[in-house]
Amino acid sequence: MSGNFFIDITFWVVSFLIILGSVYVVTARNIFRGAIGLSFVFICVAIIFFLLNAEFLGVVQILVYVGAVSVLIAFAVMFIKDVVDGSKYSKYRLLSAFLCSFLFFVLIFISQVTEWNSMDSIENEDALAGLEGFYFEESESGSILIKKAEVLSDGVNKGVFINSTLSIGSSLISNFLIPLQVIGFILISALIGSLTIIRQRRKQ
Amino acid sequence: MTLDSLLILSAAVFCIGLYGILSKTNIVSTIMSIELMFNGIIIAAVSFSRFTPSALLMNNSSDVSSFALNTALSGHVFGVFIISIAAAESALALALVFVMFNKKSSVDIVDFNELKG
Repeated sequence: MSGNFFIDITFWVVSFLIILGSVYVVTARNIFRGAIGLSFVFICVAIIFFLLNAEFLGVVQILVYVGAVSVLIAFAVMFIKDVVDGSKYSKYRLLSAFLCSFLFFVLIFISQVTEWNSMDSIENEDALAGLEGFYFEESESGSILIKKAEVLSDGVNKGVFINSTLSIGSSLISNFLIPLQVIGFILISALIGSLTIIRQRRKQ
Repeated sequence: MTLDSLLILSAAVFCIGLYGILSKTNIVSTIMSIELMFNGIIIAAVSFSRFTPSALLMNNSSDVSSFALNTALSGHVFGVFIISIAAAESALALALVFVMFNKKSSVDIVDFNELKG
């Protein structure tokens, strides 16, 4: 139980920091400080991913968001003339604040009213064994079946996947093969598109 | 750390990002708010993947295939996809900021209302 307690404490502290950092990002007058706050929020979200047993996603978050996107935004800040007082509000500030708080309460209401499935309701023993990593695959007339290999150990947290990176990799090349190709196409087209936009036309 | 608290966190981050998009006139602030919204969505996807099982695993009678087992991590895969889309989007947005600055030497979206009727 003590492990759970520390996870809960970390979760509450980190989510408080995330909300504080997000509010700072959208309210800061100095836009460079806003960008620094944004990278702080990214790091805190990566901590949330580690708490949720999504190690691979946490590492990708730090690599891509903190490493690449924050640097791109820091480059974009160079185009602003008055960085210190550059982030001004539009005239729809109050209306958008009202709209966003309304949407927030609607989202909370929906998430509280809906009854989500729980991990505790999985009763298939093969599925439990597979999720906890104790399985071997058995090929039977073309389809691959999961067989329970060992007795389940007690105290295993349901929903925690052993070796989730391996499972993400095999998902990417089996269940999500077409979306993966589409993502590659989108990345290539974004690369070519941004180069085409930036390229200076030669003066004739 | 329950599903409810994670969904509230995700909704809060999403709505703060939406407020930033709607209320700021600077294009760089808008891009930063879009990234905040992406982060809120990824938190929701990963927490669903962590706390709610896929329907293929709920079936008590049949054998479990590795296809069904891989669907348990769909939220993680969606998170990877969202992160790659966000990276492509921010690279493209930087190019757009560059072109905007070249055209009018300003990055304020109020100055770019030629399409207004």
